[in-house]
Amino acid sequence: MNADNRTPIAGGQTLRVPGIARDVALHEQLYRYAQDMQVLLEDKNNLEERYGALQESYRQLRESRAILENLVQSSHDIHLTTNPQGTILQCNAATRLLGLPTALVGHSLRELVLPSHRTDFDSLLAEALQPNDTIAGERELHLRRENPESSSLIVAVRLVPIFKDGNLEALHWIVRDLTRTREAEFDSQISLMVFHSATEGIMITDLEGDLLAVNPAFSRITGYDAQEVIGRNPRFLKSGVQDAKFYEGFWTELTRHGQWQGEIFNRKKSGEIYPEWLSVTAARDSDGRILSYISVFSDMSRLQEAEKRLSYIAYHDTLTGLPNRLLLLDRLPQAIAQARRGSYPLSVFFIDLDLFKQINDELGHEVGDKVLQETSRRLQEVVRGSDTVARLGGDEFVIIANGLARGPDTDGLGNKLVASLTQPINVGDQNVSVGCSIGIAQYEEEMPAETLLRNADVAMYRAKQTGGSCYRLHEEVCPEER
Amino acid sequence: MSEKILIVDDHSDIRHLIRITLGKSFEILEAEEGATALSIVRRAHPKVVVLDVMMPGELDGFQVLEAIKGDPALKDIRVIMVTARGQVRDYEMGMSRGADGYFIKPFSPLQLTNQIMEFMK
Repeated sequence: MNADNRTPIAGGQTLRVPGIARDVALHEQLYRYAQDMQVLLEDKNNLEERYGALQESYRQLRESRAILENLVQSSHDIHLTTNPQGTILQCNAATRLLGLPTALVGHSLRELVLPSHRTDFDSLLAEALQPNDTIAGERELHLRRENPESSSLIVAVRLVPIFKDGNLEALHWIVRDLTRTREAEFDSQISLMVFHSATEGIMITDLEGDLLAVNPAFSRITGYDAQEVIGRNPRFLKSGVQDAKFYEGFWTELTRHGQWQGEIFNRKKSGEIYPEWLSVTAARDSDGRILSYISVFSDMSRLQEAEKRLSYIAYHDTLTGLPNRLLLLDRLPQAIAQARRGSYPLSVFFIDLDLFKQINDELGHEVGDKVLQETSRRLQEVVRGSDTVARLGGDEFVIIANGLARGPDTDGLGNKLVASLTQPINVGDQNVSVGCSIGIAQYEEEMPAETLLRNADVAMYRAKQTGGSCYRLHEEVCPEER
Repeated sequence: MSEKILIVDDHSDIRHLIRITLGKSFEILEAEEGATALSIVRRAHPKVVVLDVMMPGELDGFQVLEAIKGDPALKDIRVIMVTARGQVRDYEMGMSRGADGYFIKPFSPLQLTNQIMEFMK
């Protein structure tokens, strides 16, 4: 075994003299001890070296563990460690989204999952514990916060099981808050729905003014499909009704206040010009930079038609379609002002049908209405386009005529009117004869509209007194008023 | 309680060296000749005996070895021969009588210690 372990004696002494032999054996043995000591010292140095290296790698390990821990602690994601039963053991700072981290330790994680999502939670757990190497996918879960009054959190959860010596030791849960993302997605879905279903046309343009998107209502109103217009500047919609100055004002307002609202006339693909109520708003990012302009408009042509109809009804006589008293009283002062500016004469003819009441009573309202309609037609036939014919009510009509010289011109029109209105009127199978009495008044300097109308009325009354079917001039019947 | 080791050597300095080497871990018993050694073995039943061959008195090391290994009550005791007799014949003599280890003087204290530690397991 150790037979070859023989070492030379120190100093080469090999003497085997009795007595001296004892000392030699001791010396040899001591020498052997010294040799082993040398071996031990070398071993010790090696061990120290290895120990140092081991300590260094342990320090590095601790350092990288600390980095990892910092990373986990400062992560925006929630990191939780639970035991295999799901009781929370540890959590990082981001856990405050759910509640106080200290208050959560010892609680069951499953209890934080809304009941409607616990099935998903359980299947995530089951999947993560499958004995294969595939990493379980993410699950979207809704968690309640510790404070029951807070809204729930929408989160994506990943689960990493931690095994030690082949046994499940703990579960590491990585929980990412998706609440804002999901809310933003919801908002943009809503916006998209509004964009698509709005009855108003919507145009979104970039800062250059080129179209980025238009909605279906845009196409319905303008007749242009989206693919025809995307990338184009919407000035192709311009009708030309509004001048460059208008658009200048539009841009000034928009760049200054980020908003413009008003009526604008645009042209459809068909060429038709229509009024729209347009509202343009600058869409900004969170830093206030303008990203795009959003224009919302509605076609106002129908609205305007309705408005026109309403005002037509208010200002016109429904039976004859002539302007009514209201409109006449509105137009007369305007006509006076124009005549004064233009220094031309202005005349008012007051016409009252003779025998109308009698016809109405004897032949009925229908015949009376026909007579009034025919009278209105004839009046319009006789006057010029620039003159106004109005029905005051009953069988009274008024004509405002410009530029008729007193005497020859007014006489001319008076005669024509009498001649036209005394012609028999054919109603069904019978001819009805009505006459008319006409009073004519000329505008005089500073005369109010009411006076001018009253003067014509007075003159008409005189004509009626004379027996009807004639005209009278106010200045003739009342020379003293001149 | 630490295990017992009996050191049998007529050279007191060598015994002393071995005691220093092993004394921290074990209880050390000593004998300087065969008959005393055998009576200690019977009385104290040490786990290991470190045994010299050439000793004064009636029994040399080989005879002590024979007595231990021949006694069913003692034969579990590990016996390590430590001797200046380095001939192959001596070695074979020891091994054939049931020695568990054979060290030639001057022995390596490291190897002796390792051997004893091995037996103590």
